[in-house]
Amino acid sequence: MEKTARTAHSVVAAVREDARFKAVEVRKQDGVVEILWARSLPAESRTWTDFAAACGFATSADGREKSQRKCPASVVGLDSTGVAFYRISVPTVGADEMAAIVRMQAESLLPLPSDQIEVAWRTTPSTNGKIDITIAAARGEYLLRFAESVRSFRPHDILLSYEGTARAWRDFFSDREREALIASLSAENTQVCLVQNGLVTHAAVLDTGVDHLASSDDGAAPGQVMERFAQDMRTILGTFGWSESSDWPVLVLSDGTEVIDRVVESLNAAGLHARATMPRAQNLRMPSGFEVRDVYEYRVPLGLAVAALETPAGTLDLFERIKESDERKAKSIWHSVVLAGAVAAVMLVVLLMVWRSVDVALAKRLNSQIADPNFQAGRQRQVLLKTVARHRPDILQLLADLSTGQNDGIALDSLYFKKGQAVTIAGQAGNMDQMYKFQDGLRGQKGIADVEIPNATRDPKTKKIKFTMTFHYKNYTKKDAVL
Amino acid sequence: MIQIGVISAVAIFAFTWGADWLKGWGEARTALVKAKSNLQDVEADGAKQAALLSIVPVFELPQPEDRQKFLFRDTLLEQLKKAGINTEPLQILGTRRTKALPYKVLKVKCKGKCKFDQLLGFLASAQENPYLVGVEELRIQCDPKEPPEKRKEVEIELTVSTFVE
Repeated sequence: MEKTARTAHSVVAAVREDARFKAVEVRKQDGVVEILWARSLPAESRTWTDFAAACGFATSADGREKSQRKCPASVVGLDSTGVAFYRISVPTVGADEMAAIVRMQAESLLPLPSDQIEVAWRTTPSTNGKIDITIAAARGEYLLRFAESVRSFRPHDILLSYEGTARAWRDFFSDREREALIASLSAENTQVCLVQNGLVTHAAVLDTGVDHLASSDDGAAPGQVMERFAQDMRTILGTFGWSESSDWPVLVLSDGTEVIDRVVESLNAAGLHARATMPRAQNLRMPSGFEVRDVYEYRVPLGLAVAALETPAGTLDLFERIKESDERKAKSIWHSVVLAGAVAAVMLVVLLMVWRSVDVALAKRLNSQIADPNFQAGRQRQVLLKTVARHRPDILQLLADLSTGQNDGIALDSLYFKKGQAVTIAGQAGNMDQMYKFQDGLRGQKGIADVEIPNATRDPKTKKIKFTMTFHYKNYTKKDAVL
Repeated sequence: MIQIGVISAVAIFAFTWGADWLKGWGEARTALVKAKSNLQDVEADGAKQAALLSIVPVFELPQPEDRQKFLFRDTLLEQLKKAGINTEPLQILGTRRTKALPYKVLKVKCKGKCKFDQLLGFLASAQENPYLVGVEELRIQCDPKEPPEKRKEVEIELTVSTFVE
């Protein structure tokens, strides 16, 4: 969940209700609430992530959120069926003591161990010197799963849908009372909440909804379901502290359908002083195609959006500990990253220092070794040895190379070797073929290259071929071989 | 604020001492590279050193010219004599500076007649001369009029070199 201290310009509120995802974007200007758009999708085979994408909250392929830019603030309504409400009265005490008392009371009321339950509470002043406390409780695991599922909406708050219902009644329905019991019927259940001075002080859910009540007409016992519903309502109101003498009216939010009229009738018949309250368009600007009756359809997200547009005060925040845990986790990750970075930086500095020290020490040691006269003498000797070896031609090997190979009929008369010049040999051959074979033989010798015959003539007296051959021998006949 | 302070402190430290520190390291690295290069001149693996010693089995560090030329000449004469080669008086050709070494090159020339086998014997023993650098020039000449099987002697002109200080 995102946290923001600023009041948003516009807010997207989303809920899952009646097997549909519903969302509206709302902004408030000059006291007029403007609905920018409203959208709903069947929830079957869809997830919150799909709906978030449909509402313009960009998500990547793996469902992770993308950039937070350009997305309006958002709020999500928590389905009230998983939330239990309790109301207790305690003496007027300090805030710390109050918290301790609430926790103690809650532990005694809750059906599960306290570490599995998340509790939120708020106080309302009572008349007899005591303070009334409204406690909302839900399973931690359920809340965690819900928070995880709506992450793609990046909500800066998750509110109870009761709060949306109460706020919608206050701002968008016809009857206004300081205190009232609000009944909001959906397809499968009915939310009942006691609203006092604009705040939900008690709430409950009846598992009978419009679908059951409407189908009761076709049943074998007409009106039986309606009667049972009225009795259930009466029981619930009794737990709220309602009595026939109390002046809380029972207001049933209505879109004008006949079923709700019959519910009101049935409740009245049960002595509950109920009346239907219809949506109105006062101080409400709606987009084209959005009718007044749609206010009823989108009442919960509308109420949540308007509540989120104002600075929240006394909200029942069941996700406080989860948010703190998330923040702690994020902080812990950040701390780990910073610590790892710091350790890596220190290690790097140490490594560099060690590396430098080793280099400096090694350079010092080698330099002192090199400066040693014995080393210098040894080095000088070695350099000289290498130089001499490089400049000492193996003349014996050269002579051996000349006498090896195809030299039948060949007699050499002279050889001239000088560093930096091609070796020249002069000789006689019985015929040209023998001479060329000798040339080829030389070409095949390792270290002998570029064997040329610049001169070859037949001696008229001896009939032999007198020739001169030149060739290069290793590196010694190159110009740079001369010392 | 603390982060900015820490970053500033690190930056001040880095700019004040870091540059000198890095400069010192750079100098050490340069010295190290130079030192390693010097060491490489001396170091040689076994096979390379063996090959080197097969070419230059004995070697004496060059002496001043006045001493070296006589040492070289005397040893050379001795080797020629030992090989049975009679030569004209040895001719000292003078010195020349070398390109890469702090020594000069002195060349000695000899002329003579000998059997080819004697020449081979001399060449084989020449590397035992601890002052010899190498054969700079060699001319071998036979009488072309004589058939190969009747050639008894060859004329030689040999120039060898040594280093002098």
